Amino acid sequence: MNQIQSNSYRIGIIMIFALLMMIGFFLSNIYGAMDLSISDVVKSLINSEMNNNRLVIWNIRLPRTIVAGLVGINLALSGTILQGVMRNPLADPGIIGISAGGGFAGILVLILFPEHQMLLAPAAFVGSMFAAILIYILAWKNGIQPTRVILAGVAVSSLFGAGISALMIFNSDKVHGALTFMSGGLSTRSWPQVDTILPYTIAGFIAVMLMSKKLNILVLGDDVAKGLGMNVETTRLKFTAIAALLAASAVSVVGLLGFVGLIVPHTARMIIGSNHKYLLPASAVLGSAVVMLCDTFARMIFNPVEIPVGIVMAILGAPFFLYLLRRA
Amino acid sequence: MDKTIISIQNLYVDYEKKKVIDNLNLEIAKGKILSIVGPNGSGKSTIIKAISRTVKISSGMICFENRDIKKIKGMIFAKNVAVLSQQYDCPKDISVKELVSYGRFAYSGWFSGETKEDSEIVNWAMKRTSVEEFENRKLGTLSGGEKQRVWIAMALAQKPQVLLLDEPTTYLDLCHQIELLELIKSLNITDGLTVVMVLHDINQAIQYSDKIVVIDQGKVVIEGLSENIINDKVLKSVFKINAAEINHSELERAIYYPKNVIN
Repeated sequence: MNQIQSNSYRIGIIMIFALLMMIGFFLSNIYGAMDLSISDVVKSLINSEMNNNRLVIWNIRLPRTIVAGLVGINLALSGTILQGVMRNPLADPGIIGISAGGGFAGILVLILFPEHQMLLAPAAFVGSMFAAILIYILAWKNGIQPTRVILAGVAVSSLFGAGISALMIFNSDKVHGALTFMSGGLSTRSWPQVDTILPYTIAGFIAVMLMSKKLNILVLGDDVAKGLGMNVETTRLKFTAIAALLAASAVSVVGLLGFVGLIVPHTARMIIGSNHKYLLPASAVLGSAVVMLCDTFARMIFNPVEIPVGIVMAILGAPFFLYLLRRA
Repeated sequence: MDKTIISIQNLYVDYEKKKVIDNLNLEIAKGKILSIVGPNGSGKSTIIKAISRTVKISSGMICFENRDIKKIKGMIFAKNVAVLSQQYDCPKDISVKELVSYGRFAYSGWFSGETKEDSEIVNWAMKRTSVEEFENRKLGTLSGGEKQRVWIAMALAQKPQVLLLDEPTTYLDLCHQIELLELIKSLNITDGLTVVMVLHDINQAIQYSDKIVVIDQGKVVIEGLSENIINDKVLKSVFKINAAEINHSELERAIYYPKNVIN
């Protein structure tokens, strides 16, 4: 394909991703310990008549599905932004340690202040932002070099990983909450988690859409962006903060869920191109579809036992990662 | 007397403690083409980078229209001075038109989309560089010469007074080199663009510029009108080559053919 896709084609693709998101939404509500029909789901969603179906939908499946969708949006947007500002296709909040930084801070809160759950999101943000800045400092040498970013990221990621392990070993009596936090699971996630993550999703999405033009300029490289009149350092810092915030809010509700921020932006970019005006919304919609579908799958495959969605993502993610390596 | 648009005063640039520019003074005349030539590592590219503010100046001052460029805001500066660096590593899957439109960044507001003026200027820039017939092609599919013209179109979309070019003909075949230099010349003549370019080919510098400045070890060795500034003495002392001067009736200016290297 030599020609760039037309705008109507790109909007069409976003629509197809949105359709996929709707399919994910309904499948996630239909399947579970007790399978419902699509009409049961629709009826429960719109009727106020109280019955078992409605209880299952409103108390368990709907909030869980919404959390899955929002987490998918946040991680996909975070990955898209990081790949742009770090100019590295492998930048993903999971791989380069931004999630691990958030996870470390989150587990610290769970162990030290288990009664203050609402500190989880802000603490995760501080941890994520700290990890991001650490990566920059380590990778900085006359500008950001893609290879150094990944190497620094892997170092930061293992550092926080070690920190998390140490915390869990020394606090094995309080570790239960932390354990589910680690595996990236959605079971028992409900309305409180929706409340935690939703404001970040809305604010983050609006902010990145307003700034999408700047991301397009930033990916041209520091010198070009500077030549076009951009304040490169400030802009990069703003984007990193947004990416860290998005990743941290996702981490604080599902724990360490990897690969979403890697697979989704890449797939979207391959189909829709690198113009962030289209790429960002496409990634967001596709991200929510992927996490909802994977979570449904995670519940279904060994029904009635469910596995954490993080494991499904990793099974999908590992080969995808290798595919990217072969392609690069 | 030509009006000065950029003046460089007592410039020093260090790179990892190594002196790259060593007390350099240079006046750049408005509406002219200035070529910077010199051996590898002489600091030619650093001059372009210092003017475009992509390297840190150790001391000295660079003024654009009598204002210290350090004190000019990025957006304002980008509307006056555009730069084309040596090599780019950028997304392959954006279109020619998209890239050219990024040249309008300095003119865009926070919430406003593309204005009518923006799209007119983008179309003008693409037409001017003859890239409009492939405006929807992806950057990754272009040849070196096409790509270079697209980058120039992006720079033109900035509507600058000054265009800085760092070795614009490197990696191009002979035909595309001449095509590009003709384009630069015509932008200078018909649009009044001031051009400062680093060139490796002395003969191209002589043919296509009004003035030449020869740089060696971070200093100006000699500067002057391109028709008479280069001679075999300069080529010997700066470039370490013996050259034959050739005057041909079909050429406006003399050319120099390098014979051998001085050991």
